[in-house]
Amino acid sequence: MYCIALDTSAGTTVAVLKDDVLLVELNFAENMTHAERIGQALQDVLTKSGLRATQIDRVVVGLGPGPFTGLRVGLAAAQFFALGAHAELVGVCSLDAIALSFYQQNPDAGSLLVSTDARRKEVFWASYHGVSNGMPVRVLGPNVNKAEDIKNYLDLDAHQTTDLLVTALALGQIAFSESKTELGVNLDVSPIYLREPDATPGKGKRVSS
Amino acid sequence: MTESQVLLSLEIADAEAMDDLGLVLANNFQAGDLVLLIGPLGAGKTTLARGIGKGLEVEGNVSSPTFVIARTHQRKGAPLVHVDAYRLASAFELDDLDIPFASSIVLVEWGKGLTEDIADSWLEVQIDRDNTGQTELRKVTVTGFGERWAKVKF
Amino acid sequence: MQIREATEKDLPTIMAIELECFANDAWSEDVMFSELMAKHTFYAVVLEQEQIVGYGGLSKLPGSNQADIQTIATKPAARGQGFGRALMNALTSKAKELGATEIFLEVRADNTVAQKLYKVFGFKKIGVRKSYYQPDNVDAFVMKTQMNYSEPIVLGIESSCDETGIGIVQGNKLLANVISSSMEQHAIFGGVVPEVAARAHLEALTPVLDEALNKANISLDDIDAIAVTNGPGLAGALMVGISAAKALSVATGKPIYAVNHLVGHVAADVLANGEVVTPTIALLVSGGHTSLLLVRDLLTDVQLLGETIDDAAGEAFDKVARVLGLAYPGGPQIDRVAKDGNPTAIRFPRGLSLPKDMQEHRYDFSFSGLKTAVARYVEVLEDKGEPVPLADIAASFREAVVDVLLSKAIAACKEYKIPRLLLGGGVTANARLREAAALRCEFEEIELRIPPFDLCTDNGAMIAVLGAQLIMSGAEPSNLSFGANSTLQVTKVQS
Repeated sequence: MYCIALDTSAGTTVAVLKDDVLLVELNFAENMTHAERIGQALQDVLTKSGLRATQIDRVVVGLGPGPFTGLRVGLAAAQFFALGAHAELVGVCSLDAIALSFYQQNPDAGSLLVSTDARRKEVFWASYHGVSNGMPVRVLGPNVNKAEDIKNYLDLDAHQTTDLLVTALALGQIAFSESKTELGVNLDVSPIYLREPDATPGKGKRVSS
Repeated sequence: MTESQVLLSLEIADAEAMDDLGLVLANNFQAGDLVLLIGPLGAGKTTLARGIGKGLEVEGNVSSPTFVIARTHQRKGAPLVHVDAYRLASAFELDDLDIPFASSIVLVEWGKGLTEDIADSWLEVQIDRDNTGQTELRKVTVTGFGERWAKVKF
Repeated sequence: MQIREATEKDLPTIMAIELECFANDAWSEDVMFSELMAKHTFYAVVLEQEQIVGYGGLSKLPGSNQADIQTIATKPAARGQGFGRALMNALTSKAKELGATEIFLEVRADNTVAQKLYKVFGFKKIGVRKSYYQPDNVDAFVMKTQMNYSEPIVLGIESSCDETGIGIVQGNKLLANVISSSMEQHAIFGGVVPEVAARAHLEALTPVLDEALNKANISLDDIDAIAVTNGPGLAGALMVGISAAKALSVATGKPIYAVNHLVGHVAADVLANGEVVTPTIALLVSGGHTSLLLVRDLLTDVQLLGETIDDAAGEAFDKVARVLGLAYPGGPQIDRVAKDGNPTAIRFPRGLSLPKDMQEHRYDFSFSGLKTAVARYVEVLEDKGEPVPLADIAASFREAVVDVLLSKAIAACKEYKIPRLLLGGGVTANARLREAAALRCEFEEIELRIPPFDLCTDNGAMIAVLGAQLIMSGAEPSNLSFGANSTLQVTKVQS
């Protein structure tokens, strides 16, 4: 089965996979130009893979968490790509993809804490303990907290950390693995925002002082 | 408490003078600058913003962004992001806008009190009206907060 | 210069030119004769002072959407005078008439003059036939052009503010217009919250698309092109529509057109009236925009005469409604309260209408002073403990807005001698604006057009029809790299 995976929770990463094998991947690090990049990136991975969009059976999208504006670019694109290509749309937590990449490189590692910048001096995070059937086992999260508060949830010393970034390949591999389990793939593609829009009803303001 | 000093204090007689003040201020702005325009309804914040926009030679008309909350104006160099915090109640809402502060010049109307948690330096331009209601004179006080403005002279 | 269909009698003259132009590649007289007489071909000759100076031929089989330019030639002595172009015009028009959507041709690799002509008509090189031309041993370039569709099915996506709109048109005909608004979600905040709007757009995309396809009774495979608003508007909101549109374009292989939201509002009239009669003055009034446009040509000549220098009219309604203790959105609330009020009770300022403003701000608007005046009026009464006549204030405020909007619009019609005024944008829902516009335009003998509300408010159909107009005019699709531009200028119709 052919799949296109994409994630815009940090930079822009797009890949074409055959089952869990990478055919093409494109990665862009800047995190401010997702909307400009995403169209050409999708076109380019298709062209490079030699596939037509109608051959794509599944679209896998990173659900975040991540900065909202960029995150939505990937989600909107994934939705409409799947509709246009008549493909299945599947969601994967972006932090899980980072965990998978870590465990692929460190197969014997124990506990892992994945955290990404959430601004406001906070981080998005999730913790994992090893792999099962090749897939990371998530223990806690995803949550958003001040970095110094995470120690209230777990023993920091017992957890490794990583600088690895989310890759579309890892997303695609998780979806493929999930499809082989009883539960199947995650068809709920709601974004993982973890924060409400922090808007508060305003008060009126006087003209004269 | 961030260190501050008053950099400029003057009286503005009319909209034209406010516009000119905008040009003067704009000359000193660069990427990463955060400028708060503070004053009551009708004080002239948007007029000043227009003057600043003109000084920075931005694309597009600078008008009240109350409805859209933030509007980005392209120009040669760092874009001008014109924010109206009229309807924002906290710094976090400002943050939610995902504004690239470091690479832009950000102007925030109604921004008083919203920036301490998210910036180390900023400029406050306070516009006061004549309380007696007898003249249209404005008193403008420009105060620099933080290192960026420590040695600036207008 | 004259062009007409070729006849048998033209054969000798045509052959003379054929031999002169093509030497080694020339067709024999028999071949030329069969071509001229064949049922599925169309041959034309161009004449100067009744002498044939060039000819060209087109082949199109019935039932096919493809046509081929068989040959085209101008006497060497007559070149450079536009005869080739005239022949190309005739052939491509005929191809369109016959229902072709693609035209192919072959040209010698070394004939750069001809290639240049073909490029003007939108031909692009798609392949090479090696050593095609013998005995000269020259390659042939195969070139192709996509014809102007006569009635493209276009899907338009609009997400510039707080309404997710997807519309479908077939040429100038409306097939579906579905809008999902997040206005209620913004009500407690007193206005549009960009983050709330953007989240709502993402959620609404698929349901709105499904409904639009249902209503139009088509599937995504049926669309010919996609149009999307890329500005002006809220950046985060725009990005949702843009990303969806781009992805759809790549997935379906259909071209994408990034278009201007404000020009979309003008294009809405095409759906309401079949066309935008130009030139026209257009007054667009909404929560986020108050703009006065001079439209000489919808696609190529839109000029901004003026716009608000501070609050948009819709914004002013919202702010004043709040001052008066009314809910959001302010327009309908103020209308409700103003019903029993006297519009001339209080003379509130009409912004930028003084003689001194006529120079720099003739067609600009300013509602900030008006809003301040109303707020001050209310505060003074409240401070004195006197009753606040809500109805009169609402009516007088509304009158001031409507007055300045129409005065400037009509002044523009007069100055530019254009007896047509088009209204657009959500504030056209305001009954007093419509009523006053009708009265004043009738008095000034200006033709007033206000599309139905669903086409006036932000919507996807207006975007779709603007896209359709671009396609039908032969515009190239947009590149996939455009971004959201929150301050896109009205002079830039397509990005």
